[in-house]
Formats: sequence, C-alpha cells, structure tokens
Amino acid sequence: MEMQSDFDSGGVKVTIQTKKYTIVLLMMMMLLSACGSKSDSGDGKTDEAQNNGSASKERVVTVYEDAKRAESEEMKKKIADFTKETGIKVELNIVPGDGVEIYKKIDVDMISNEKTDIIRLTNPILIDKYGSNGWLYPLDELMAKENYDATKIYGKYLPKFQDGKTYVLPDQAGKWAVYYNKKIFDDAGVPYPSGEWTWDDYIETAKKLTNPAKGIYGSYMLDYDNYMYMLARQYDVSGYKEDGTSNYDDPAFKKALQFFGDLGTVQKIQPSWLEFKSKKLSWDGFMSGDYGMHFIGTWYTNQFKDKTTYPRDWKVGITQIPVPADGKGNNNFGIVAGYGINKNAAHLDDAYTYVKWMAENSYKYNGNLPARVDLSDEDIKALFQKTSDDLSGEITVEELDKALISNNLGFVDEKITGPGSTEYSNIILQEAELYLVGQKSLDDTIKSIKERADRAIKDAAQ
Amino acid sequence: MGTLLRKGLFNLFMLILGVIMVVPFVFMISASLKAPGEVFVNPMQIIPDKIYTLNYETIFHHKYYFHWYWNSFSTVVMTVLLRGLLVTMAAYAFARLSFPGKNAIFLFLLSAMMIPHDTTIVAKFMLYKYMGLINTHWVIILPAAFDVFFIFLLRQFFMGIPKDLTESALIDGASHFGIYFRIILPLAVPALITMGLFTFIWTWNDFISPFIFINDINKQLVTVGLEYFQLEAGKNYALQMAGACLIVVIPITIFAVLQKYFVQGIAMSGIKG
Repeated sequence: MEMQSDFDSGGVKVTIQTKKYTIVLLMMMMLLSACGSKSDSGDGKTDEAQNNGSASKERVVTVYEDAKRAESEEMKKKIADFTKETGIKVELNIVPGDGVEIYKKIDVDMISNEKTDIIRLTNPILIDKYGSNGWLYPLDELMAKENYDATKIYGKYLPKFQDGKTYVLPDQAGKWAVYYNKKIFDDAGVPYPSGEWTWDDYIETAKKLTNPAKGIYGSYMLDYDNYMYMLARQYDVSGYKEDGTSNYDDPAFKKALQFFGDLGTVQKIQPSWLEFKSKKLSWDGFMSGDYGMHFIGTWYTNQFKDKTTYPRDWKVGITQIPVPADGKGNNNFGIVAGYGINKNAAHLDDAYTYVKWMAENSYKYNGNLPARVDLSDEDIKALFQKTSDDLSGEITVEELDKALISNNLGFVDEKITGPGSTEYSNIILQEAELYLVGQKSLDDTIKSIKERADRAIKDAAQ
Repeated sequence: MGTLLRKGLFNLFMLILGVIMVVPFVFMISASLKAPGEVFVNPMQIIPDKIYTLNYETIFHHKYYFHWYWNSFSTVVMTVLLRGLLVTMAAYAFARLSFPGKNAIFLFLLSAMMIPHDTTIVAKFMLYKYMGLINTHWVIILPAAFDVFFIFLLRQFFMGIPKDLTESALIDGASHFGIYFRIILPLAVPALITMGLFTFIWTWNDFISPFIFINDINKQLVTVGLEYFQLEAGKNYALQMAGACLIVVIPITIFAVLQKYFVQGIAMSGIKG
C-alpha cells in the first residue's frame, strides 16, 4: 500500500531528458548488439555444424575435436580424404582446452543431450566412462547390417563393455617405449640401450647419465596415474578382484608404488615427485635436453618431428621398455583410443561411416600404431618408414620395429579400467601423492586407496 | 630508531608483497618471448637468451584471435550497460520504494549468492538451451545483467543518501524515474564506476561460462580462445602468454584512467576485491 502512496505522490512521469537518456542507451545497446550478431555469424562454417545440416540435404557429420588435432595438417588431410571417398562433409566442433579439459565440456553436452555426432575417446578410462554412462550409441546393429566383423579387424584391441555391446571402434593402440637423448649418452660415454633389458639395467644406465652439476637427470617420468602402478600392470595384475572390489591391496601395487617413488627419492635418477610438482615440470620436459631417457607412450614421437616448437641440437633414439628381472612381467603396455557415436547423434548412418573409416585408416596419417590386427608386416613397415622419414632418419625402421613389435614383450592395458575407473584413477593420484611427498606411509596409502576405490566401485554400480 | 626499524621492516614486507604480485606478470611477458619448449626450463630465465617473436606473429596472424577479442569487448560492454541499468533500478527499488514482501524478496535474492556457481552449471545449461541462448553472446550477457551482489551493494549505498533529498524532490513533483536519474545516479558515480570496473574485469576474465555455453570457435571470447593454443598433450603456454599479454591491455588501460573513482568507490562501499 505504501508503494501506491509513493507513486501517487510522485507519479510515473518521464521527462524529455529521461527519454533522451533512454534512447541513447537503447541505441548503444542496439549498436553493440548488431556488432555482436555480426560476429555471431562469423564465417558461417561452424554455424552449419550447429544446425546439423537441417537446412540442406548434403550429407554431413559433426565431430568433437580438440584444437591441436583440428589444426593439424594430418587431420585436415584425413578429413579431406574421407569426404572425397564417402561424399560426407565433416564439420568440426572444436572444443577449447587440452586432451583432458575438453571432456569437461563434452560431459556437460552429453548430459544436456547435445547432438554432435562423434566423440573421440583418447584412453580406456574415457571409453569405459562414456560407454558405461549410456552416452554412446551401440554399433552392433549397424555392424550386423553389413556383416562388419569388428573382432576380426581389431581383435584384442576392440573395447569391451559389461553389457556385451560394442560402442567404440579403436583407431590407435599406442605402446610404450624408452626414448633417449643420444647427446647425453655420448657425453657420458654410455652405449645406447638396445634389445631386452631389466629395470635394474635401466636404473644403472640412468645413474651413469645423471650429472647434478650439469642439471642432468638420467631418467624422466611424468605424473600420470599409471606410473604409480606400471610395474603391477607389467605383471598383468588386475585393478579389480573377481568379486568386483578393488584389488589394490595386492602386493604388486604396493611394490609398484614404492618402485616409482624410489626412482626419484632413493635412486635419484629422475626428479622426485616433490621436485616435479614444485618446479612445475611439464609433460614435454624431456624436450629440454636435460634428461637422458624418457619412459612414455609412442604418441610422444610427434614432439621430435616438431623442431619449430622444440628446437634441439641433439638426436633421439628409441628402445623397448625394461621389464622386471624375475622374467614374470615381460609385457609392454599401452592404451587404446577410439571413436564412438553420441546416442543423440543427428546423423547416425554417416556417423557410423565416419567411425569405421577413421578406425581403419587413421594410422596412415598420424603415425600412431594402429589398433588393427589384420594388417600385414608390410603395412606396419610402411608406417614405420613414414615415421622414420618424418624424423629425417634419426630413428630407423628397424629400431622402431625392435622397440615396438619384434621383441619378446606381450601387451596389456596401461590403465585400470572397469566400474568407477575415472574415480578410481583420481583416488590413486590423490593418495599416492601423499606417499610420494612423505606425508603418508606406504601401507596407509595402499589401505586408503583400497577403501576409497571400493566405495567408488560400489557407487558406480548403484 | 625503533620507529625507523618498524618502518623499514614494513617497507620490506610491502616490497616483498609487491614482488610476489609482479612475478606472475613478469613470467607472462617472459614466457611470451620464449619458444614453447623453453617456458618451463629450469632454472627459469627471466630474459631469454634468444627472443622468440613467433608467438606474437602467430597471434597477430591468427584467424580468430582479434575476432575473439572483439567478441569479448562487445559482450563486456553490453553486460556493463545492462547491469548498470537493471541493477541500479533494482537497488533503487529496494532502497527507496516500499512494497509488500520487499524484505522477503531481498533475503531470497541474497540467499542466491550462497549457491556455488559450479553446482548450477548443468541446470543453467538446460535452462539456457530451452531459452535458445546457447551458443550466442546473450548467454553471457543476460544472466550477468542481474547481479545480486551489486544490488546489495548499491542498495546500501543508496540508503546512505539522505532521504530528505529524495523526499523534497517528490514534494516538488519529481517522479521516481526523475529522482533516480537526476539525484541518485549522479550522487552514486564512484559506486557506479566501481561496479562497472568490477563487472568489466569479472566478465572480461570469465572462463567457465563461455567455455560451457558457447560452442562455435568464431563466437568464443578471448579468455577461452587462449585455450585453443595447445600442444600435443598440454597447453602451448608461450602462445597463451603472448595472447594474455594483449588481453590485459584493455583492463589495465581502463583501470589507469578510472583509478581515482575506483579507489574512491571501494572506500565508500567497502568492497574487497
């Protein structure tokens, strides 16, 4: 009632000056709005992707990609060849951020039923998460229609899901290797590593290369979760027990974590966890030329090709990964990456064509190891020849073959994958860090990981 | 002597604080002049041996960078204008008008401040999608146009203006619009400039909203745009720092020009950055 009296006393009178202010303000807003809409239209290319081709009849498929891959020449060539071969136009939905951050955005899109057709999933944990969350379209019916035998083509690399369906076709099965800086080996008078070797050999070699006065470490490893349990994976110890609970109380995981921590704090052949974190050492630190050997996946080969980003005066070599001395863990490990179709995809059939084509052909463009088991030795040699040529012969075809294919090593997944694996991985990183910086005992760390992982697995099941 | 020592220690403390504040800025400029692979080399070189200008060349020739820059600028200006209009009007209403449930509504609005932004992302996404705002700049502008924090702040400020002034104006026949435009707003200039500056800087620096709500690369804002500068398995910090150096030019210029009002506004309204 008071409000009424207020207005009664004053009334709502709009003076000429008030009108002027209002008009000027509105004009400014319209001007900026017009400018904004100009930018909205942009070059129109990505708008089409947003509309999912509703205004035209042309065949189109929309694909999430990160900026690095989207800008790469190999990606552009791959897409051009795909379009030429199939007549399907590819519209990229480029997500800002690195290979991990982009999935925060895609997660929200999935929850909100966005329609971008294709998602590339870069590791088994993501593959498991997207498949298990029901965000991907099952490919079985589409494959059955044309008698596409995925098992025959991809064999052991074809991602498996609990419901028995196929949601992802793999385009890459990266393995691990040891890259080494030949200059550091030459300066230390140490012969280049070659052929079978054990972790003890690796440590001894790294010790000979380590030179604190020159700021050189013999070894370099990163802060990925699988470094914490790499030894356990080499023994092919599962992250899950048969009853589905966490298997992290298996002694292999304890031994693996201690082994990784000791490389920095006891053996002193590489930056300790504390040093790595406090100095913010980065994933591409090996390219600085201050490390003798780098234990990493084969995707890393691309860094050596890029001499603009990483100018260097040293040559690189490659050899197979070391194994435990007891001979029971003679395995290399790696990850499978692949393509899935959004369950709300706007162009299902074309999306399926894209997934299939990329899974079969990607390796020809990016030099990554293919996930195909049906390829001949000649196909693989041709792939290695391309990599060798791109590196101006720094690494030969024979060296690549020995390091990755023609050796005595089996193959296991590098990651722990299964129910709740995303959370499981986070728990390992959080708890292991407490051990690695000396804030928690090894036994307590393992116990905490086991308990928390059990809860995460239970939550995931619910 | 004791006073001198205390003063000296205080100055030393302030100097250290100042250096701590400046270090990230120096790092940003230094990294922008290095090759991507040299940014995190230990020990860090503030002045690199070889000045690497390719980062700036890449930025200046980048297809989208200045497009993102303009997107950010127009979005921020729109947000400041709209917020300036809506928030001041709302604050005036809460400060000067009486209507049923005023306090309850105000408390309800204040309670919205307590909800963490991140927890509402998915709900907001669904709502904005329903409203057709997703992938437009309005998805940044419209939600930011109404801000409870500044309504609260300006309400307090407006309440501090003597009622005699507005009551006299009412008696003289002025309307509430007239009082708002002719009396309240001119008296609140420092507070308005403070709100404008904070709005400008917060919206200019906002990352999450454009990251989540805008999809097309050509519609992105410059903060998210930097995230397109990537290497194989991580950020291209050198290129990002070169982009960031250009990003801070506008806020620094605006702050330099309006610094006097800004400090005055903070002192009067008690905002703590």
